[in-house]
Parts: sequence; C-alpha cells; structure tokens
Amino acid sequence: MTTPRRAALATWLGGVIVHALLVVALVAVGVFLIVRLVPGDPAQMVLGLKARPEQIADMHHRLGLDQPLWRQFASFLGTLVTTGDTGESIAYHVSSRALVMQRMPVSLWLIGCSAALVVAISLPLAMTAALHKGGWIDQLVRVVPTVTLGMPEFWVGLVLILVFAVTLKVFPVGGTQPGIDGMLYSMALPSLVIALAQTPFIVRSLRTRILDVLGADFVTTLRAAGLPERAIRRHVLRNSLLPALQLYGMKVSFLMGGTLVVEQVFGLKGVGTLLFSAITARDFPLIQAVAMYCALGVVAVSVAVEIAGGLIDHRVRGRAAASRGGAR
Amino acid sequence: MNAAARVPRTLVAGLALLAAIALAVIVIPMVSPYDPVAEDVSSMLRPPSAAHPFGTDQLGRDLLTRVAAAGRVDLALMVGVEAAPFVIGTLAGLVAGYRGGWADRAITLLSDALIAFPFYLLVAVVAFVTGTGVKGIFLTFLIMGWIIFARTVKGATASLAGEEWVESARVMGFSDASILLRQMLPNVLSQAVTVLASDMVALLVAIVTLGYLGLGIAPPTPDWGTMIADGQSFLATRWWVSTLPGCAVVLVGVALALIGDGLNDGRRA
Amino acid sequence: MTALIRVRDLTVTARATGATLVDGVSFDVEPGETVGIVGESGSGKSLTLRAILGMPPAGVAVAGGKGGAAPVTFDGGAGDADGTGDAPQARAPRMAMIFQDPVASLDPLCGVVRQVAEVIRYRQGASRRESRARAADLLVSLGLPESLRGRDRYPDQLSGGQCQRVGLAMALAVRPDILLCDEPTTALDVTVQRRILDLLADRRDRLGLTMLFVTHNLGVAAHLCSRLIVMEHGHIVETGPTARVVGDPHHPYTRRLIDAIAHIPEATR
Repeated sequence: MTTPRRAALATWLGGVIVHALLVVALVAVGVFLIVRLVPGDPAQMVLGLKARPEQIADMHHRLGLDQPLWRQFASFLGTLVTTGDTGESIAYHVSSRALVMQRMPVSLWLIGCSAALVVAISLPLAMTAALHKGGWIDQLVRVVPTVTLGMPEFWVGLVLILVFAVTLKVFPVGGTQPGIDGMLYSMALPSLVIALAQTPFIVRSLRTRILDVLGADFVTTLRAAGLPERAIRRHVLRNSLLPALQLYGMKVSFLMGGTLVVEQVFGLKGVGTLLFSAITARDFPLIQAVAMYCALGVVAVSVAVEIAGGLIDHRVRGRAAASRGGAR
Repeated sequence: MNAAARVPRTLVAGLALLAAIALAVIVIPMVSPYDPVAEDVSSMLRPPSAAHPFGTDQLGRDLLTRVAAAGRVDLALMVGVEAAPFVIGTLAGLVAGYRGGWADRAITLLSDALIAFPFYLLVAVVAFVTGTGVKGIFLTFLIMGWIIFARTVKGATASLAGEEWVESARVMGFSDASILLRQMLPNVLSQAVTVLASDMVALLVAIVTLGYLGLGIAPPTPDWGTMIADGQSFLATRWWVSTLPGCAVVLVGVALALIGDGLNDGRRA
Repeated sequence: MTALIRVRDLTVTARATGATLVDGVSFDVEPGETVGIVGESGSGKSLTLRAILGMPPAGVAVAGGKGGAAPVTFDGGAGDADGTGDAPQARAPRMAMIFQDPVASLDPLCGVVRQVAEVIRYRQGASRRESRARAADLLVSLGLPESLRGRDRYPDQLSGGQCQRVGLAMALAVRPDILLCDEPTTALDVTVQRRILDLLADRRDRLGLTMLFVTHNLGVAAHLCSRLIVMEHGHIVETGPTARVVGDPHHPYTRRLIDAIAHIPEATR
C-alpha cells in the first residue's frame, strides 16, 4: 500500500471518529438538559408538593441545581468523563452507572438474539424474493410489512404470550432462566417480537435494492458476456449488501428502542425496565445514565457499520472524506 | 395515457379502508347505547356477544364503543401531531440538500445525535420531561418527527441539485428560494409524502405505546394503548380486552401502509 | 453467401402502453461485414440490437412476422430471439456486446481484471490463475496500463475511455463471432472516441469479427462501417453502402443527419 492511500484511509477513519465524538458530545448535552428542561422545579417534581423547603434545598444540592448552569454542566461532564457516571440514583442511593451495568447483560442478550434472528431471516428471504419476482415468497415479503407496520411491539408480545406461553405452554411467560440454554429459552419469544418488527422492512428494502442492482447496466454486461446465473448472483449480492448494512446500522436505534419496551412486556430485568421504573420514580440521574449508555451503544454500532462499509466499498471512503455527511 | 387507470389499486384500497375506519370511529360512539367512559359494575368482563360485540372491560364498559371512542382520540392526535414535523423536516431537508456545507453538516449532526437515542427511550424521556398527555405527545414528536423527513428530502434534493437543469436555472438568474420552492419541492415532495404515510403508522404505534407505558394519554380519556395495558392482567382468561384494541391499531396500520405502497408504486410507474 | 444475422419483420412493442417501438424491421448482415445502424434516440436502433442479442430490456415484447416466424435467425436458422431469456451463449455464433455507458457497465465493487478474468474463466474454461493472467494480457493489449498486472483497479479509478477498453475486453473474452456495439463512444471525449473507434476497427480486422454498430452519429458510423441502415421512428428509411448513403442520400432524414455532422464538425461529439 502506498503512502497517499494510507493517508486517505487515515483521513477517512479520522473523519468517522471525529463525527462520532461530536455526536457523543451533543448526546451528552442532551442528557444533561433532561434535568434542566423539566418545566418547574425538578426537585419539587421528585419530592412532591408536600416537601419541606429544607428537603427541596437538599435535593437542589444533590442534583447540583444550586450552581450556575455552566458549572453544573462542567461538573456533569467531568464526572461523566472520569467515572462514566451521572450521579447517585435518587431511588436506590447507589451509583447510577452501577445500576445500568448490572442490568446490561439481559439487554445485551436480548439485542444479540434479536439481531441474529433478523439477519438469519432477512438475507435468504430477500434474495429469494428478488430472484423470483412475483413468486409466492415475493408476494409474502411484499404483503407482510403492510400488516406488521401497524403492530405495536408490546401488543405483539402480549399476543405471542397468549398463544405460546398461556395456551401452548412452550415458552415461559416472562423473566429469565439461568444458564446459556435457559437464557436462549427465555429470549425466544422476546427476540421473536423484535425480529418480527424489524425484519419486514429490512427484507423489503434489501429486496428493492437487489432488484435495483439486477436492473443495473453492469448486470446486463455480465449477462451479455454469458456468465452463469450463480456468478451474476455473487456480483448482485455484494452490491446490495452495503446499503442493507447501512440501513441495519440506522435501525439499531429502533432495535434497541424496541428491546426497552419488550423487556417491560416480558418482565425482563434489563435496562428497559430500569428506565421505566426510573421514570416512574422520577430518578433523574438514573434516567440520564440509561439514556447516556444506550446512546453510546448506538453510536458505537454506527461507527462499526460505517467502518465495515468503508472496508467493503472503497468509494465510501473517498466520498465520506470529500464531504462528511454530504453523500447519501 | 389514462391518468385514472394508473392510480394503483393498493392506494384505492388503503384510502377506502381508512375512510371506513374513520366513518366507524365517528359513527359508532354516536349510535351506541353505551357510554365509553361511564362504568357499569354489573356487566364486567363479559365476552363478545350480541349486546356487546367486542365484550366489556374490567369496569363493565362496552369495548366496541370504547375502541371507537379511543380511535377518535388517537387518530385525531396522529394527524394533528404529524403536520408540524412534516413541514419543518421537509424544509430543513431541502435547504440542507441544496446548500450542502454547514447546513448539511449541522442537520446530519443533530439528527445523528437524536437518532443515537433509542426511539422509545427518547419518546419516553421527552414525554416525561414535557409532561404526559396531548401536550407532551405533541412536543415529543415535534422534537423527533422532523428527522426522517429531513433525511429523506435531503438525499433527494442533493441528488437533484447535481443535475443540469438546476445549474442552468441558476445561470439564468433564478433565486435560490425560487429554485427550491418552485422546482425542487414538487420533485421531492412525492418522496416525502410516501414517507409520511408510513411514518404516521410509526407515530400511531408510538402514541399507543406511550399510552401502554402510562406516559401518553391519561385515563379516563379512552386510548388504545391504555386499553391494551388494562387488559394485560387478565390476558389468559379475558383475551378480548387486550387483543381487540390492538387489532384496531393494526387495521389503521394496514390502511396507511397500503396508501404508502400505493404512493410509492405510483411514483415509480 | 448466407447471412450471418437475418432479421425479418422484427417488431418491438412496449408492454405497458402497446406502443410500437420497432415496426417490422428486416435486414441481413453478411459474415465479416460491419453494418451501422444510424438514427436519433427513440428511433428503435438500440432495441433492435438488444433484440438480436436476445436480451430485450424489461417491459418490451419482441415479435416476428406473420405465422409466428422468428424475427432473428443466425447462420441459416440456428437460434431465435423471442425475448424469453434464451441465453446468448446457446446460439450458434457467439455474440458479445459493448455498451454506451462504459463506467456503469462494470461492477463498481469488483476490480476490472477480476471482472474480465471471470468471463474468461466461465467462457473459455480456464483455471482461476490462468484466466487472471489472460485477462491482464488482454487488458494491456487493449491499451490499459501495465501496472494492472500488479494491482487491480476499480472502474471509478479509471477514465471513461479506459473503462470502455475494459468493456471491449469483457466482450472479446467471450471470443465472439459477432460484436454488437451500442453507442460505445457516445459518452466519451472526441479525442478518446477516435482512439476507441480505431481500436475497434483494428480488433475487427484482426479477429475477423462481424460487427453491428449502433450510433446516432453518422460521422462515427461512416468511419467504421461498410454499410449503413438509417432508422427513424422504428422504421428503416434508407439502407445502402456507406459511400452511397453519405454521398447521395435519398431520404430527407438521412440528409438531416449528414447536415448535423457537417455543420458542427467534432464540436459536440
């Protein structure tokens, strides 16, 4: 590899990372503002209307509200960068970060299982649908999103519980069971719910993309050159995969959002249930910690996807370096 | 070419279904002998029958009347809440796509930062911060909703801006505003409207989910989400309480998805 | 002498509208001949070429004359082009085609040597290693830089002219008897155009190719072809030896085409 090429690669990689850092900074500002944007007095909101003035003052101190805004932000950011924490949880009186970390494994299990399920379902389905355009799988792939689009995930969860857990008794109603096999068993229904919500759109857009590529000039060239169909398929798949990967990266945020709600439906002790209990308890530092770590997770995945995309397609690197965010 | 013959069947079906739902939602509470809010402890949790086609809920209210009344609330909210983000997002996308440079960068950065928060986390937190109820829902989707339109329109505009006729319009002395609004907008609007149809479904689902989580419309105002949540505790024995309001959501989703598909097909044809 | 390609009452219609795009065209191409099909865009010349290749674009129907006679036959009736996806390699004479947009005609994610090598591997039955070496040889012989032997390049790292040389290599890798050219120089600069045309003429003479050359530029066609077919609105309006058609055009449309190159020599194309 020559030096200018390596330099271009470094510029591109640097751009990706700088953009990610800017996003994280903006995310941190947003998370900080959660407390500030509450109309009225957050301390009053936490303690209720019957709180005594000295309790309010104490809460102001604990939330740092007795300081000027810039100082609040500086200390928030300082704590966040040095300890990765957003302060002590009001409800539990322990580090919010520790609480999030404690709940993280269950959520990661759920996300991992769902993501694996989505990929395993969508890739073969999209390819089959596009190659046999108008066939029954294609019809199915086109009709299913129309129906699933309006299905709230929590409702699908309830229906699946009704069918598979209550009536057929093949899967647990909720909660988690010990061991890897127990975990997989417990994750079956929840991850199916998330996959059902995500797959139709991935399949549909991947199918459209494959059809677009099938209509591209270069496919005509390959056909005219008399390449066998399986060789042409390889070219088509490689060209369709990158946008699908990027779409998948963008969908990660929805995937994670879905897991938060689905945890609630299945009573899984993950970050999602922690979030909603924190919201109910008006536990500001804990809400902030959940928001911060979820956002960090999404940013990390997007960076990984962008880097993977750049490694697949050399043009992504050049385009992104030329104008960050300018290219689609 | 005959314009009428080219209207996709999916679009017609979607519009017809939506009209039927709207009609049902408006008419049923007017003709129903039951009140959607008043409790009737003498007829709690009755299964579907001739008197109560959808059965009754845990407070003895007729479920069909309630589903229709909730539909009025949720559908009106869905339409009302989507307007502002649609306009803001489309305009922001136009400017960012046409101008490029810092406007593009700023919008990309801002939308990336907002998108970094898992959707329901952001919705839940914003709803919590802005307060529950209609106002909260409105503010939540004002903050979130513009992104998808901005991204769609930005991409479409950027690819148009590179074309020759735009360059020649600029050379001929048309102002940027006139190029954007008179020439670009009509070209990218169809894409934005297609997104609008499917985004409205996502919005409805989000409104209902907020209700389910107790962060949306507060009781006693009927809402599909709170109704589903109410039924969750007796899901095993009284299936209809949770299932039927959910079916209503799915039905609206199908109608809007058909419309979106139809618009999409029409655009490509 | 029997015609190598025999086109009889070739009719191409658009499936959606039923519009006739090519209307009962008939002509013969003798072995070793270079025939130019000239006309403006929309005259049906490219569709004619695609129909001969047996790969009509999606959305059109190809038909022959009365009684279901095949519209295109080769070498006295070895194959037909009915548009049902009959693979080109199944025909008696081998055909290859080069296309108008040289960059878009190559897989953007695949190195050019690899693309040509793949054709050699499948069509000539060579091993992976062998076909790669042959592909590099072929590309270098067609004027691409020697450095390709060391490191492969992607299509967007090459100029349009270089990409068209790659396109020619893809076509020659088939070892064709007939080379179909669809406006292969239209997208290129004038200076590059001439070099590609000379290269085409050189390979044709060396390999004894029969060539069908579609272009809207009568000048380009005259440079290369021994016989011309002039098409307008799906019909053949004039046909004859190049010298006669250019020197003494019978049809007013042909005269207009000649005027078009006479007045702006080399300026636009």
